[in-house]
Amino acid sequence: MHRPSWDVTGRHMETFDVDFTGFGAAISTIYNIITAILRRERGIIAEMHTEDGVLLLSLVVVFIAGLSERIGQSVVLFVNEVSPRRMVFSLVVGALLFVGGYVLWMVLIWAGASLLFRPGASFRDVAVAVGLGYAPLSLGFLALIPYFGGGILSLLYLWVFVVATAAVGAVLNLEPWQAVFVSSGGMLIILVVRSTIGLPLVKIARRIRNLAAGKRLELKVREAVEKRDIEPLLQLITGEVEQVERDNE
Amino acid sequence: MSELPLIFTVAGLALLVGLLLAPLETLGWWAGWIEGDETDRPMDEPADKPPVPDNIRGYIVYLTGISGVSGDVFLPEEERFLERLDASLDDYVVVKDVYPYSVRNEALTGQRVFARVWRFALNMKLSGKGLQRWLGFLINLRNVFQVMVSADRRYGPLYNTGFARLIVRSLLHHGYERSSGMPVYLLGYSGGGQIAIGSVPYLKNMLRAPVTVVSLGGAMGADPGAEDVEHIYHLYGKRDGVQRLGWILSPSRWHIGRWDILPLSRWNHARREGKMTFLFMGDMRHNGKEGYLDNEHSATGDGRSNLTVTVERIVGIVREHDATYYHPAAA
Repeated sequence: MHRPSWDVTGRHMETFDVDFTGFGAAISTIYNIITAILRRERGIIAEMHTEDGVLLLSLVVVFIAGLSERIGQSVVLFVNEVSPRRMVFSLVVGALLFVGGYVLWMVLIWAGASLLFRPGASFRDVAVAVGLGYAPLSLGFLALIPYFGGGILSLLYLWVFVVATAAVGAVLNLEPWQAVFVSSGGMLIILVVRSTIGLPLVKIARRIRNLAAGKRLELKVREAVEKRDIEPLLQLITGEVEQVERDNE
Repeated sequence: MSELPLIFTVAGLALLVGLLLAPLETLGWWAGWIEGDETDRPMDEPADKPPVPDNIRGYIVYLTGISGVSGDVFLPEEERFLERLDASLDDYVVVKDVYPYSVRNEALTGQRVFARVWRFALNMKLSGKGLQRWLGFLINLRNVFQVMVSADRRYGPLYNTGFARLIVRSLLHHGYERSSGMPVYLLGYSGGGQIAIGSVPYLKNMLRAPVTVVSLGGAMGADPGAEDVEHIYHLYGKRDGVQRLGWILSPSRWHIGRWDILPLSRWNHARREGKMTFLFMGDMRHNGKEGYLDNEHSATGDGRSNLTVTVERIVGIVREHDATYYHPAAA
């Protein structure tokens, strides 16, 4: 059910019940929250973060964002010649790993805010704020657009950062600089850890991805292309393959 | 007029879907999802195929502009251009049966699902005026999307490999011997310029021969292929806004005065190595009236038509390059 409300700038916005009682109601709830965030209804996350079921809703939003982002980046799967069935499996597994990335960032933001600015900050509130902040990445499939797709994806990531930071600031009542400090600090820690003590985790994630794809994935497109032996393709067009088949007969 | 927002919404959605689907043919081909691809075997030999003369000095592969629908249907001015070029370079084989906007050489009018749509758009383009002509513009738009795929750093290596393979297939059909070292010129008109430069590294590797690019108003991105090319000759007219698009959309090609914005890019590296020559064609447009291939108008004012000037320039480039690099003794 929609309820009239007003955001922090006094602009009219519609809040709604978080309803997961049926498939149709769940789809409607997910659609409403994503479109509200994409319409830049400032304050919608702060307004709704105490609702029942909103934690599940935020996890669903992160999963959808992850799936969409993986679809946008699916060229890696194509270039590694992954079969259609493995492709679907890989996209779902990729989305789940993406949710893992969200958990990491969210925990770091919560820990930073609790230690530095708000002792006893609610873990659930931060989880909801950061999770719903991923809504802009539900457009991650736009990365498929040739030539401009990479840039679009970067802008979507920036949008996620801004929304999640603003939402964390709103639900924990932080000053803007404090919110920026904890969210960018969390991201910085992830970047450093990934290339140092977190390497084993990165390797495990890569191994899971390879298992889902059914082969060892080369993540750099140009290198994957250079590694592929082009000679069999050329033998087809030069007729050498037909000649061998005729000789065998 | 109340339908106007609806029309714009539908057009915007169609554009978005077109953009999202643009890389799929390339990705599907590369991943081996497309069964029974006709381009996976040699081209059919015509019964009356003439033998390749002994005096052949090289091959020129023509890549049509973004208005092209297939490798065997050209606009009347392109037909005239190719005939003149063929006649002026009788010791070169001019290859024109490669369609640069499909990695499977699939003519738009030969597609299973959308053939009717493209045939309709082609008829509109050839016969129509006003709104009808704009409907024909759908072909250009679709082909621009493929140019974007070729210029994309993710899809480009796949597309350009696929297209290089098509060029090899066609060259073999026209009597080219792989590893013979016979020089190949890629003559790319409009979007064909980008696809030419993009496919150079892969083509060079497949043929083991030198590849030179002649871009006629080519809308080229700052493709890394620039480093592998023997030389790029870029012909551009004062009123050609299409070729300028390639520059506008490629930050690696930007410069402030003499200073490159991204001096370490491969494009700039190739330019500093002297691999690029930019040739001004005077007051010419990209296409149509007063375009490079216009046989009525004279931009030079000396009575020679734009078409004559364009053909003479290209013939001059090929002759001079050939004499300088490949057959200096014969010069």
